[in-house]
Amino acid sequence: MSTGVGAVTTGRLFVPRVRRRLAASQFVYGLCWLIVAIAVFFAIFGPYVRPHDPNYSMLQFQYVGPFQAQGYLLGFDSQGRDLLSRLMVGARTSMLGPLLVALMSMGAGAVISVAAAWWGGWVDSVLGTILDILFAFPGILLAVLTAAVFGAGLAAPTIALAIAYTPYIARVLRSAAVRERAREYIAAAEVQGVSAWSICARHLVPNLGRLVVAQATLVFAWAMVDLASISFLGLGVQPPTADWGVMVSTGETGVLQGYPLESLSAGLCIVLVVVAVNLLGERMAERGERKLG
Amino acid sequence: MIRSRLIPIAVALAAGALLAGCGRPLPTAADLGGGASSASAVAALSPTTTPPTKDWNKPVVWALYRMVDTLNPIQAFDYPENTVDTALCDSLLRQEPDGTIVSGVATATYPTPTKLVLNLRTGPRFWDGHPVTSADVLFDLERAASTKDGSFYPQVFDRVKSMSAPNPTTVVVTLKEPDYWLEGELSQMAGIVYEKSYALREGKQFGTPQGLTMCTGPYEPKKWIPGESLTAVANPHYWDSTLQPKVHELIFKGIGQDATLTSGLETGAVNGTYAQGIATYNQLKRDKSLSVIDGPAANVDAMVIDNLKGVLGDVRVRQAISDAINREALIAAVYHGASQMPRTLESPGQWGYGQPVFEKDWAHLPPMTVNLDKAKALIRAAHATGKSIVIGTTQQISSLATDANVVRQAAVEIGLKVTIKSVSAQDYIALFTSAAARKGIDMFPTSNYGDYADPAALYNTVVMPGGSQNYDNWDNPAMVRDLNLARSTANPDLRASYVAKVGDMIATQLPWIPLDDPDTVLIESHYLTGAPVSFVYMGGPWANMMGAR
Amino acid sequence: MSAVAAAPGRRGPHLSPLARFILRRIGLLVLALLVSSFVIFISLNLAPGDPLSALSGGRSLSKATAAALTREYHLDDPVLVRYWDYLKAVVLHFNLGTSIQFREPVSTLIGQRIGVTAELVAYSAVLIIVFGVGAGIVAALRRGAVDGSIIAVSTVLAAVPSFVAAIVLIAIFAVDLHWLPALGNGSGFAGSIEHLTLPAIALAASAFAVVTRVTRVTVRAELGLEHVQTAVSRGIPWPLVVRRHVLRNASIPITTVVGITVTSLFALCTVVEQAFNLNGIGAALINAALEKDFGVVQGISLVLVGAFVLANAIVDLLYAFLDPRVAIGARAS
Repeated sequence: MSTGVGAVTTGRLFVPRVRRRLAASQFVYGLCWLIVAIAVFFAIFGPYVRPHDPNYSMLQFQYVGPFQAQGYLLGFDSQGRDLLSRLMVGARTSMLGPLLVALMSMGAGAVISVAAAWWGGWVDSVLGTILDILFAFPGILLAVLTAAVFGAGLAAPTIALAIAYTPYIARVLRSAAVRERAREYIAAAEVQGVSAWSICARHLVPNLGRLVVAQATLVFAWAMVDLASISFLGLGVQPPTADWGVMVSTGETGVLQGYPLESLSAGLCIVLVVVAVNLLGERMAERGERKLG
Repeated sequence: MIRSRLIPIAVALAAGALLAGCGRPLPTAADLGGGASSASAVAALSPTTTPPTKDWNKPVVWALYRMVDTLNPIQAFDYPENTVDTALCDSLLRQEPDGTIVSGVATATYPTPTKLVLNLRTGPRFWDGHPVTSADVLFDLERAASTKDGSFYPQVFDRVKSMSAPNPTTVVVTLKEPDYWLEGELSQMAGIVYEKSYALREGKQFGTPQGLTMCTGPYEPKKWIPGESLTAVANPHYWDSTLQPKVHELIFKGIGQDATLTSGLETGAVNGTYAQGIATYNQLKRDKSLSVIDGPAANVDAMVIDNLKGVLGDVRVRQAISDAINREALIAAVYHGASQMPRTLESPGQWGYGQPVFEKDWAHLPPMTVNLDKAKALIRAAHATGKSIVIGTTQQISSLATDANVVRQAAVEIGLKVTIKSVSAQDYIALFTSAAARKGIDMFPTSNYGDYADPAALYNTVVMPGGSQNYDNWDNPAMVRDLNLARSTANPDLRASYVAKVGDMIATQLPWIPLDDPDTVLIESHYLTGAPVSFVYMGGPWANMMGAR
Repeated sequence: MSAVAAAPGRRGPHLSPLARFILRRIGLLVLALLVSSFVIFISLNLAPGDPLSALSGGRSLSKATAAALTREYHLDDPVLVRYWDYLKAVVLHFNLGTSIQFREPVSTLIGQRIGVTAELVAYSAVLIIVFGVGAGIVAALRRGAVDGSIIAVSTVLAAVPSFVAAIVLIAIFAVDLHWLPALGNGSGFAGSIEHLTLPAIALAASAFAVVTRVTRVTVRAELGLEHVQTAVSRGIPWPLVVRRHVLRNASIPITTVVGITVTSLFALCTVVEQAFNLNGIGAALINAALEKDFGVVQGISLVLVGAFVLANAIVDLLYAFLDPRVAIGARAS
C-alpha cells in the first residue's frame, strides 16, 4: 500500500498464530515463493527465453485471442504483438524499479535508524523530525512531481519513491534498534573498548537483518504498485517498451471493445507478485519481531 | 480453512476460463482486404446527409479531440479551432460540402486576371448588429497577411501586390500575377470576417475566453470555460435564409481519449463528433442510439519527412520504406475499413474542381500495396542496410502511435534500425511549428490536409520552397514550375492537369510517404441529421445544416 | 507518531502531556507544510534548463509573455526572497500560479474540478468505513470459514493497484454487463453517483483491505480481554457486550487506521481519476505533468500535499484525544 498504512499493521498489532493453521499457511507460503521465483526468473532471463520478439507487430492480428495462432499462447495485443513474450520481457522493468526502491530505502533507512538509536538524544530528535516530515509526502505525488520536473521515465520516480519510503523502514528499524542497543552485550562490548562502528556493523545491523529484509520486502510490494501506477499514467516507462503497468494502460481501449486480455493479464501479473511478496514480507516481519522480543 | 484454500483455486479456474474466451478469432483473408480503392468507391460516399425536418431545442454536445486554444482565425491551423471557427463564423467565400467554392459574405469577380474584386453582400451583419463594411474586411485580410500578429497565413498572400477598399462594399486585391488559389484560401480561415472595431478594442484578449470574437455567422459564442467547454447559441438574425441554424445550442468539449468519447456517445453525454481513427468504430456502428456515417475526406495520413540530410535523403530508401508498409493492415486496425488506399499524397475527396482530369490520373497511378521484395532490393541498392532512423510520435493519440509502429515494423523488415521517440501530445504539435522540436527526428506521422478542396493546397505547403510544412528545403524545379503554372491558370481542367502532374511526381519522389486517406466519419445521436459528412467541417459552414430528424 | 521520548522531569512550562503532544504535532504540521511547499517550489529550479523553459514546457514564448512570466514568478530575485513571495501569494491571495496551457489561474482550474475529487474521496471513504470496518468486525466475531475467506479476499485486494481494479471493474460492470457507465463525470446528483460508483470502488478497494485487517485484529484483541469475559459471565447479552465493551475500545485504533486510509486517498485519487477520465484535480495534475504545464503541477501538488499533511495531523490529534494513554504521557509511537 503506497502510503504506508501497511506499516501500521506490521510489528504492532499481531496476535499469535493458531497452530492448526500452520499446514494451510505452509502451502500458501510455498506458493508465494514459487511465484516470486518465477517472476525473478523472467526478470533476469525474460529477454532470452521469450518465444517471439516483443516489439514485432503484425497489425492484422490485433486482439486475436489465445490458442488461435500456432505458437502464440496468449494471443496478441492492441498492436498485434505476442502477448506472452511481452509479459515475460515486461517482468524486468516491472521488478527492477521496485527492487532499486527497496534497496535504496533499506540502505538509507538502516543508516538513519542505527544512527538515531546509537547516539540518541538530539540526533534522535532531529532525525525523527526529518522522518516525520518525510512521512508527509505521499510517494506517488512525489513521483508525479519528479516526473513533471525531469521528464517521464523510470529513474526519477524510482528515486522519489525511495525517498518517500525511507521513513517507513527507518521507523520500524529505529524502535527495534533502540531496544537492541539497550541490550547487555552491546554495553559489554562498549566497555571492552570495541569501536562504535564495529559494534554497529557486526552486532546491531545483522540482528536487525531479518526485520530489515521483511520491511524492505513490503516496500518492494508498495513500490511495485506505485511504479506500475506511474507507468500506467504515462509518466514512467514509456510505450512501446513492454512493462506490466504500461500494458494495462495500452490495453484499455481493448477492454472497451471487449478484448480485455492485454490489460487483465498484465494486471494479474502485478497482483500475483505483489500478493506473494506481501505475504512473505509479513511473515518475515512477524518472525523478526518475535526473535527480537 | 479448507474453504479458504479453495477460494484462490476457484478464482484461478474462473480466471483461466475468462482468459481463454477473450480475443478475436484469427482474421481470414477476406477480413484483411482493404485493397486498392477506385475513385468510384470514394465517389460513392456522399458528402451530405438527409436534411433535417425540425429544429432541436436541447443542447447538442459536440466533441473535439482537444479543447480550442483560440477563436482568432488567423491562428487556427488544427482540427479543433477550424471546426469551431467554421461553425461560428462566415468567410468571404464559402465551401460547400462537395468542395466547390461559392460566394459567402462576398462574391468574387476578376475584371482582369490580376485583379480580384470582392463585392460584399448587403445582408450580413455582425452579432452586435453592425453591418459588414469593407473596412472590416480589409483589416481582417491585412492581419492575415501580416507576419506581425502571429498569423499562420502570410504565405497565402504572397502574390498579392496591394489591397484596398475603394468604397464601403468593395475590397480590391491587386495581384502581382494571377492567383487562382487565393479564392480557396479566402473560403477558409484566412477569409473569416470579424469586426475591426471589436478586434481593436479587445486587443490581446481577442479570441481568448475573455474576449471571444465578433462575426456574422450562424452561432454566437456565449461562454467559454477554458479546458472544459465552449457554449454557442444560434444566431436568430443570421443573414442567409437558406442556412438558418436549427439546433438552438452547441456545446463544444475537448475529449482526447477514445474511451471517454465512446462512453460519452453511448450514454448520450456527447451528441456528435467528427471522429478520427476512433478505436471503437465497429462498436459504435452497432449502437442503435447513434448514427455512424462515412463520407469523402480531404485529409491524408502520411509520414512527414523532416530530415533529408540523413538516411531518408535517398529516394530509394523512401521508396523502400513505402513499399514495405502494410497499409491494408493499418487501415483495418486504425480505421476498421473507413479509409482508402492512397496512390499519392492526395485523396479523391479533394477534387473540388477538374474531376474528370483527376479521376483519369488517379486511375493510372498504382495503389501503394505491399511489395517487400522490391523494398529489400531498393535498400540493398542504396547501401542502407543496418542504418538507423528515428521516428517521432506521441503515445497519447493512438492512431499516430499505431502509424509510427507500422512504419517502424516496415523499416525493420527491410533491414533498417529504428528508434521511436515519443513525446507528449502538446510536444507533438510543436513538431509542426518548431525546428528545435524536430531535432533528432527523421520522420513523424501526421493526419494532414489542404485548406480547401484542391490537392495543390497540400502540395503547396509540402514541396514549395518556403512552404509551411516544407521542413528540410525540398526543392524540385519541375514541381515548382507546375504548381506555379497551376496557380496562374484560370481554366479548372487545365489547372487540374498541372496539379495531377505534380501528384505523379510526388508518388515516385515521396517527399512525404502517404499512408492512407481516411474517410470523414460523422458520429451523432440518432435524432440528429443534416450535418455534412465531408471535410467542409474544416473549411466551411456545417453546424447550421444540422437539425432534428 | 513522535520519535522523542516524553522524558519526565524536563524543564519548561508545566503542560500536561496531552497539551505537549498537541503543540508538538501542530508544530510538526507547520514544519511539514513549509518543507513540502519549499520542495514543490524549488522543483521549478531543479528542472533541467532554466525555470522559464520549465514554466513554458518547452513552448516558444513571445518576448512579452516571457517578461510577464519573469515578473510573475520573480525569476530574477534570489531564491529565498522568491520563496517568501510565493508563500505570501499562496497563503494571502490564493494565487497558485497560472496555467500556460489554458491561460487561466490555477486556482480557477482547481475550483472547477475540485468538486468531482471531493465527491469521489467522500464516496470512497463511505465505502471504506461501511464495508471495511464492517467486514473486519464480521471476520473478528465469526471464526472459521467466514474469517478465512475475508482474510483471503482482503489480502488479494490489498495487492490490486487501483488502476488494475479500475480496468477490471470497467471490463465487467461497464462493458460486459452494461450496469454502470465506464467513464466521465455525469451531471446532477444522481448522474454523479452513477458515474462515480466504479471509480469509488476502485479507489476504495486496496485501502479497504487494510482497514478490514486492522479492524479484525483489534476487535479480536479486545474480545480476548478480561473485562469482556467478565461481562459475559455476568449475563449481559452478547450484542450489548460487543457494542459497549468491545467496539468502544476498539474504536480508537480503528478510527486511526480509517483516518490514515482516507488520507491516502488524496494521493491515490490521481490514478483513479485518470483511469476513469474524471474531470477532477488529480487528472488535471497528471495531464499538466504530461503537458509540462508547470504552474498547474505546482499548484495542484501544493493543494494535494497540503490536504494530505493536514489530514494526517488531524488523525494524529484525534488519536491523541481519544487514546487516554497519550493523556497520561505514555509514548504514542
